[in-house]
Amino acid sequence: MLARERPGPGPGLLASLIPVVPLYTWAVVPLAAQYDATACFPCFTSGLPFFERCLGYPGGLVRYAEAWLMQWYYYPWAGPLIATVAAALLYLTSRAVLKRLQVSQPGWLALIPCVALLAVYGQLGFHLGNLIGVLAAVLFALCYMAVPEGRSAGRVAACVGLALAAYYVSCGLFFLFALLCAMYDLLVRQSRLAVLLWLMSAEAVPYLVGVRLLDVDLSDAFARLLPYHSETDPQGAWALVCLVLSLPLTASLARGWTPVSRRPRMARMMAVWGGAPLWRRALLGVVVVALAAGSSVDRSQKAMLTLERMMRQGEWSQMLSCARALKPDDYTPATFHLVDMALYHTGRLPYEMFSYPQSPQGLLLGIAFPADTKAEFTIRKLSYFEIGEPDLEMGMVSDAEREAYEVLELYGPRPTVLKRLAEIHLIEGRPEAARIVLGAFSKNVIYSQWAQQVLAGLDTGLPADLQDKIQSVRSVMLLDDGHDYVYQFSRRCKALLERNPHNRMAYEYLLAWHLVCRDLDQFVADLARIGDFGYPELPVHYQEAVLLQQAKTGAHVDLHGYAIDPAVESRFHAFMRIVSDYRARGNAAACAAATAREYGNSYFYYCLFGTSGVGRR
Amino acid sequence: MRRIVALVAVACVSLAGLTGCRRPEPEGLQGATAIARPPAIHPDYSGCVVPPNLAPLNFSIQESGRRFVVEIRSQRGTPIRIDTGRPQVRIPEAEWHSLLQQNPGAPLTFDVWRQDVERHWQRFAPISNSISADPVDPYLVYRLIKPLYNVYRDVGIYQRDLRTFRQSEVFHGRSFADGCVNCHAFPDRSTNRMAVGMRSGRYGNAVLLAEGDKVTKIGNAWGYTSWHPNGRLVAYSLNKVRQFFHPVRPESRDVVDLDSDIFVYSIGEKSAQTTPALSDPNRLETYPTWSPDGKWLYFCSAPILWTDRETVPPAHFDEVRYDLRRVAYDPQTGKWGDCETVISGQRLGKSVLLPRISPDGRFLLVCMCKYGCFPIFQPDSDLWVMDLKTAALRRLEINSDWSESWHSWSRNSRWIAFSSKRNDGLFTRTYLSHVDPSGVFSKPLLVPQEDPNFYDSCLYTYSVPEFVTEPVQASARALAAAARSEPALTLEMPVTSMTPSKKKQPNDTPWQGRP
Repeated sequence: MLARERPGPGPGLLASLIPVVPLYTWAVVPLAAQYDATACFPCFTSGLPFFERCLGYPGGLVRYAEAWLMQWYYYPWAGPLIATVAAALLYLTSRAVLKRLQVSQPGWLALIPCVALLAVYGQLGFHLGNLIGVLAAVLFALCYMAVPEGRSAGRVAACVGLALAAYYVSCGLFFLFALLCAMYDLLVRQSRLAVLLWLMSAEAVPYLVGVRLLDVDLSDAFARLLPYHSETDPQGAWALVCLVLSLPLTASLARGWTPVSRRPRMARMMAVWGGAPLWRRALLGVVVVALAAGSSVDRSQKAMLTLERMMRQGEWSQMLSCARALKPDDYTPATFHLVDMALYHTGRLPYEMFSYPQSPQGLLLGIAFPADTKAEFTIRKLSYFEIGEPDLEMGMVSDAEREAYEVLELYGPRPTVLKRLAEIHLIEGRPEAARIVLGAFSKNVIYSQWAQQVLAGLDTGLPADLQDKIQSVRSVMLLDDGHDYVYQFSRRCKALLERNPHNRMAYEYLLAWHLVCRDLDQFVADLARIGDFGYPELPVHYQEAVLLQQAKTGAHVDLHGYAIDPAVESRFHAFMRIVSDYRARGNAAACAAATAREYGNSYFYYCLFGTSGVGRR
Repeated sequence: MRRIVALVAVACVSLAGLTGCRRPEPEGLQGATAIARPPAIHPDYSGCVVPPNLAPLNFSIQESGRRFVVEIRSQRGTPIRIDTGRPQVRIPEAEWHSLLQQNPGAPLTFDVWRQDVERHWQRFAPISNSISADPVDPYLVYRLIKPLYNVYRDVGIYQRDLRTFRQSEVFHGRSFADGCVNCHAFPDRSTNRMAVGMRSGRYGNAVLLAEGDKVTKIGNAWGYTSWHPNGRLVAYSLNKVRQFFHPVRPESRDVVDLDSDIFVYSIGEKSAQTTPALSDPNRLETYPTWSPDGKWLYFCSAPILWTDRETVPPAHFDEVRYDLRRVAYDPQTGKWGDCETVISGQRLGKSVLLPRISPDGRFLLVCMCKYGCFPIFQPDSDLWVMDLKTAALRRLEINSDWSESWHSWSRNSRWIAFSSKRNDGLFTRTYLSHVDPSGVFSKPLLVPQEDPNFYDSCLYTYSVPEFVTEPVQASARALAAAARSEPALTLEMPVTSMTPSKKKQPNDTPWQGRP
């Protein structure tokens, strides 16, 4: 019997795994950056109502556990700790299941689900709930395998009870439970009737319990907690599929579907493998794990999360350093927006914005203009958390409020949105509305103390940093409705500049908007306000735009007391000469490639070729 | 030894049960120093008229103190005494109901003592309320939503047993792919029939008509609905509603109907009809409501001030003022009669909206605001009452600086429930007010909650509170199943300016489901 063969290393291997997971989830994929980072971060509210709501549907308990656990990601140590515990549990349960299935070398093979787990973490998606669901399904399957043999009513009751519990807890992942139970009945108990029942239960239980009994929507009843379900983060779904299937696939490949005597090739290989020296097996294991984990890291997602975390912490210079390391292909619309925010806050927007990839949609991603179509919602939905912050800083308070309530409706009472809403209501001078938002915020696991401090401050005096922010926004906020009901960004910026001519953010974003849209006529018209901002010299990108406009129209552009830097002018002329040469030859693509290195960070390159940030760094 | 410990424990528990866990009267309470003012409590339950069948008015004392004693008393019965170390006062339900039932029409007094840090007792001046002899309808059905702008996800209709703190879900959008549920309506506060609107990207826009637990999905989206008292006709509006935003205003949301008409659906004939008075192509008709005798259909009507029916907001949207009109109807023959103006919004310079007539036919309650069709988004929206005996119209004293709207009459015509943003200007809450036979409205009473601080962290708004006399009969399961099914019926609409054209999008509404 295979079961009598050496089961392979168990706790020893587990002990050697333990440092790998926390190191990986701390240094390689910083889980702390996931805290309240995107719309997929689960919402958690302390108190009975939220718990009761979670109890009301299959998979709800897992969602509750996920939401509670992920709140602790705020602390850098918590994510790696949770990941380590999860990996250890997955290893132990997988090993036990493989052992029950009489698979050779279960100690080593149980590593495969753990490698899949690292791949899931490497994708930096929000999949803790799915992972807990997988663990629950495997654990319930293990319980089934431990039910004593026999044909008693007790065994039937235990099976039914386990099936119901497995479905209630792990919902769509019930199929994993049913599959493992069916494998056990096929390979160990050799009961074809039981196999058939288990396979049928994968369809019947979600329908009868989910749809008929608990009145859950069909797709939710069958697919909640599965990859590609609407509630599951689509980021890195392939890795999640690997994780879900890893244990049954490993078992079937290693054990086969046939009697023990006719073991498949992999099982024979495992037998040979089991005879190899320990150091060789350990070395190969480490190499496989390292390769799988390292190659699975989604660098774009990692950069995105890191940038967002830095933004929340106001680490603007570090954000630019991080962005410089990104390739243009790694940019998502949210990256454009974050980089522009960092450029503005470091005073570099009019000087360096075209040293980074730019797009009109990216620049305005954080601006809360009303989205009227479903397509617009879809584009913006993954960036909801950024939307509204620049509005607030610029003084478009009602727009920021609208966007914050949209987030609240769609994604629940998350820290970012509740904090922003409280600030917005305080800025608006509506302390009673702020009080309610803060009341809800005080139920947050992490920010409870902050919320209570501000609540108390409503009567005794707000914290100084909050006071500063309130005063700062009030000094620029729109005060007049102006009958401007149809949102247009440039018109809104001009209204802000009428309200406060020194609103530098509104001005720089307005000119940046004209530049990315290549609307040089409007740019020149709005350049007239530049005297209000005290720039020591005309910013480089503005100079470049002026030179382009002069070349295009042949008319002199009023520089309002500033001058064009001769170096900028000579670069422009050199660039235009090269462009003219290529134009004569009719080869635009070659021209873009030839000038990219030298001029790829200039506005005139962006204006001509539509891309930026491709020059020498 | 273990047995002895167990016996002692049981004895202690029994003794505690027998004595009701009451603390003895604190020492020094009798000689407490008087404070000349009543204590600040939250919610403000002072000077209110309390329904004799309402759940306890739990409140929070907003005064400093290390210990509080509250005594609730009336003319008859044993006073309720609560001795607590916390400022939250939770009144025992059974004792509360007993006290109220023994004292209809009598005063209800809250005496509050506090013990300061030096352990001296102080007694505040009493808080006075009164107990009404008129019971309130036992159930309230309302919609819970967060302040919505463009998108919705978490929208549900709930019912509250006003005699207790029990709230239960009637129908939630999550049961049909995070859809929207809206505009629930019942005939004469009875729940054997119900109409409720639904919107869903997956399952379409429709109305669900429930009769008991049998629910029919009609594949047409209805707006505001009103059941005829005979329960066989439903008047409803079709509104081409659009939302837009003010860049600066305490309430940045605004809504305009680019066009609207009213239709009447016959349950028996499964068909809809209208009449020129209800579907004038040059006017906007909305908010239908039947008179209690079923012989008049009241509605709001305003001239359309724009020619372009696509631009949002249209020209002169802030000059649209609705009149209140009514058209005669003969339920026997189904014939429509003359139409007349009841309140001229044009003359008052106000938009008259949401007419509701008390079941005894005496009072007509409306919202009035500066302009427009959506009072909940108009901070100046106030409640006005018309005495239908004398045609005298007046603004109610119970209004606040913020929006008041969505009023509902109890079956005995002695109570109204209405939505108000008076606390903070943003989150609507439901208030009750007693109406005496001469039309005096009592100070609004916030619907109590078990946790006195419940509203302080509640991010939901309570909208469209409707009194009903019994729990909703249609089950959530039946409603959800119907919502997810194909429509059993799609009405052939009479041709008006609001008849849906084939070119229109199915989700032609300003609010969208989750992306």
